[in-house]
Amino acid sequence: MAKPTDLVQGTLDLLILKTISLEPKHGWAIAKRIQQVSREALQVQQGSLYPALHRLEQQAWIKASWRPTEAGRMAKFYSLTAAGRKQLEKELESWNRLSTAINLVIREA
Amino acid sequence: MRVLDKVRLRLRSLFRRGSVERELEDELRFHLDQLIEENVAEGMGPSEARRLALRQMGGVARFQEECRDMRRMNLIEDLWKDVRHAIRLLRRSPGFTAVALLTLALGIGGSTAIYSIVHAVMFRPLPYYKPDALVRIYETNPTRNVWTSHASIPNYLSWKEEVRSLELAVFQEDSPIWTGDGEPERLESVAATPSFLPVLGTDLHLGRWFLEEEQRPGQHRVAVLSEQLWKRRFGQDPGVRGRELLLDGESYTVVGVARPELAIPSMPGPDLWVPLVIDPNANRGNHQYKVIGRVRSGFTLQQAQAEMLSIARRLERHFPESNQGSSVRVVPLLHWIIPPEIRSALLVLLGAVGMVMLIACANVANLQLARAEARRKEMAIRAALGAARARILRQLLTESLLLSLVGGALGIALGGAIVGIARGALVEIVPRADKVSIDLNVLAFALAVSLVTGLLFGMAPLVQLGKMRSLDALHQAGRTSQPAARGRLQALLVVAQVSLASLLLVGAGLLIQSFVRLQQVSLGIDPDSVLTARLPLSHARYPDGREISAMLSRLTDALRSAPGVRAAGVSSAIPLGLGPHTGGRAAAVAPSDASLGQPIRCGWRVADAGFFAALCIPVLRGRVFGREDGPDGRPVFVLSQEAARRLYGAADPVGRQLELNDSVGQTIGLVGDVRMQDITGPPEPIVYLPVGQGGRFGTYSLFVRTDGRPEAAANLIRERLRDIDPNQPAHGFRPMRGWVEKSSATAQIRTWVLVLLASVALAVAMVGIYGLLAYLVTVRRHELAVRLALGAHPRNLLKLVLVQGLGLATLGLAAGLAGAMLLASVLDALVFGVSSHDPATFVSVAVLLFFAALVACYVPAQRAARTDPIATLRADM
Repeated sequence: MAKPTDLVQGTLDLLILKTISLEPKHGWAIAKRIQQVSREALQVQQGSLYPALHRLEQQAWIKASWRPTEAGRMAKFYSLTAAGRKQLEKELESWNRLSTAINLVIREA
Repeated sequence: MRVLDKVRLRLRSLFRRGSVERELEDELRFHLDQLIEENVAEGMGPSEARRLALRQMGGVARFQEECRDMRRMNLIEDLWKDVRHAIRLLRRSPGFTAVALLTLALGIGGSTAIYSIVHAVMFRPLPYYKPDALVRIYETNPTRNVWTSHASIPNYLSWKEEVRSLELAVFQEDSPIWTGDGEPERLESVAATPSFLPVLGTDLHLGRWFLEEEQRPGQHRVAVLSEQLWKRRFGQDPGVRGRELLLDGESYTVVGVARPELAIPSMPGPDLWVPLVIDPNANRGNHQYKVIGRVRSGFTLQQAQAEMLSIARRLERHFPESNQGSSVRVVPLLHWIIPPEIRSALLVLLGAVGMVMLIACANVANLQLARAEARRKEMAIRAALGAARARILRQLLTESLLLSLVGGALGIALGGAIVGIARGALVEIVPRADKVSIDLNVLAFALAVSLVTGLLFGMAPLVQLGKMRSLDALHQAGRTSQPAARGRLQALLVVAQVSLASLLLVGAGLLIQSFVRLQQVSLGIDPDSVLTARLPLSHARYPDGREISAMLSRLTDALRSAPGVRAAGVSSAIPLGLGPHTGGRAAAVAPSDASLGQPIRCGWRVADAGFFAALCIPVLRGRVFGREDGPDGRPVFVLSQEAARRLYGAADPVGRQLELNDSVGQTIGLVGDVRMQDITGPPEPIVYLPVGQGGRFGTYSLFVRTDGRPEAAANLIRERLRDIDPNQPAHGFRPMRGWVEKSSATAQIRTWVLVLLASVALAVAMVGIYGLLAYLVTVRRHELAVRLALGAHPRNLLKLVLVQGLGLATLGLAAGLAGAMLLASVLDALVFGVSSHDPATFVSVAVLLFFAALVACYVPAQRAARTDPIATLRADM
């Protein structure tokens, strides 16, 4: 198994916001989802995930509620707020700008 | 919306810490359980799955902490920790804390209190419509140095007729006796014109003010009650209008009730107002009426003054008899209400307290700097252990804030107490002092200044920390390289403190000397063992001079025959006490051709022989009034020495003819000068008339000299008075000494307040010197120890420190005395009998301050001399 790539600084927020933009998820599911979708390339450490979640909640970009999981256990589910949705758009846009720029440099230079 | 959400979340994190923490724990446990489940699904046994999961999770505590950080909880928790730490530190150095708090409290409390008083008395607008347009109009006589004379009715009428820029009103105080329901009571009244109320621009509580026709005799029997009298005697009856009052035997109808604001010049004000009866044929030279005015809109005070001056010049031409040399002065009403001597005293105090505030701030700054020096090692260790700069900054901020806030709280308490005491002490001698209260703006300003000072200098350790890398600091913390350089700012502050303190001491010294000289002024009377009382004689029972003179001589005879009474007499006014201070023009009549000499302006009083005896006023020539000199006798005068000197020079006045206010009589005696109103100027020329001549006074003053305590005579007076006329009240019992003291009460209070402030300044400056030297000795202990070890005598070290401290004190002293030379003219209005550059005062202050500095230097100097070289050097190695 290849060593998981370290996340580019500041992209964790973007990934979390994107991951819960479709439906509310708890912390575990968010980590799993990022891992799956990135085909195991991105691994989110608990040590960064939970502080990030709390920070986003403090910014009022996401909100949390306790709900039962499919297995029937209570878990803390995070969902996007309206402000969070705007923030996601902003971050997506800046990410696109950045990655396009990097791609350009890599290809053309 | 989002802001609100954020606030809600913060508050939740802060106040519902338990549930937030529990949630975090639950959340992490859920995560852990998911990990375990996953591991089990991969085929591990339950215990192995759990162990691996725990390892995969890593240190839970660490990211719990990080989550908390994300919630900004630590900021507040740290703050609380900082506060507790600060309290511990401050308690550990009680000396520093006490001095800093005391200094802050004195600075904040003192300046807030004094400024609040000055504001309430001097700057608070009068409670009238457009108060800036209100003026008082004086008649003046520049050639005779008379600046604040009252007006005569004919002059007032002429002004009113001609002036376009002013609305005018005139009033006069009286004290009628109210009889009828219950005890006879003496009231304070003001007789005023119908224009009085509109000029002030206020209205009544109920009812109406006076009508134009009510100025005519016969129609004037209406009255407006003060709110106080209305409450006290009429139980606030709203139907009081139409009730009858018996004043001096005449019936007056109540037409209204005034608001408290109508009381001028200050509270408590008169009990009632009645219309002033205007007699256009009154004597133009009889200056007994007070004129106020309102500058009409569209005109300025200067225009009003100019117009009044030109009218006065016209009147001088038309009526040279009475108006020769007379002019007018228009001053803002507030200048009349707050006389110049109170104004200048308050301003000097304001300046003084400002200096105390500056000294206090300098002291707090100095203390903080010295403490910062002592804490270099602590700071260095903290930095070395990895404390962030911001964290140290926060700790220092917390300490300074705590100190400033506690000091501020003490200052508020002190200021409140000072204002409370001052209100009680000042209410009798300073107008409007009853309304003094802590001024919140000033308080906020003083607090802000102390906070900023505290914060600014509380940051000093950080600045020093920034100057060096932490390792160096740790190295140097024990030893110090250049203490002199580092103490430079503190030395500067000490010099500033000493100079301000010496400035204040010079001021206090000058005022003390003035006050002593004031006490030494010869009053011309012996005020001890004399009781004074006021006798308001009603018009009805005592309509003219004959009845008055008969009644008063019966009373004084009865008193004189009582045991223990040495002398008893009456006069129209009490010297240095209650008036009326009647004045007029006197001129010598040349014996051959009945032509008049150069007239003088003088005061005149009615008196009997007992008055001169009771107050021990020496009869220098001729005789004073006897039985035969009364209402029916020929007009006679007794002159004061000063009056005789001005009228006749060195010649003997006895037997000569004199004209006083158009009536000619013979001078029968010459008596010593008496200070009637003012003790700072030369004695006023006074002409005395016998009781029964010179018109009727509403109230006469009684003087009784006794063998024992003067207060004991009050009952005697009441008894004898009852025997003669049971309906006749006497009031205002007061020893003559009390009047004399009251006349210098303002001088006394301002002297003691300035002495107090100067003492505080001196004490604080001493603490400043002491603090600086103690600090310098501490940081130089290594150097001192080396010197001792190398054979220096302890006495040399003592000298070293003393010279350093006294050098600073001398520098400050020189600066302060130079400043005092420059500023001395500010005190000119307040000093009396002493030059404001009095060398003796300056020298005394210099000596006092030098010795104070010596005392402050001695303790640290001795500590330097007692340095134990071995212990010191070993400790620092």
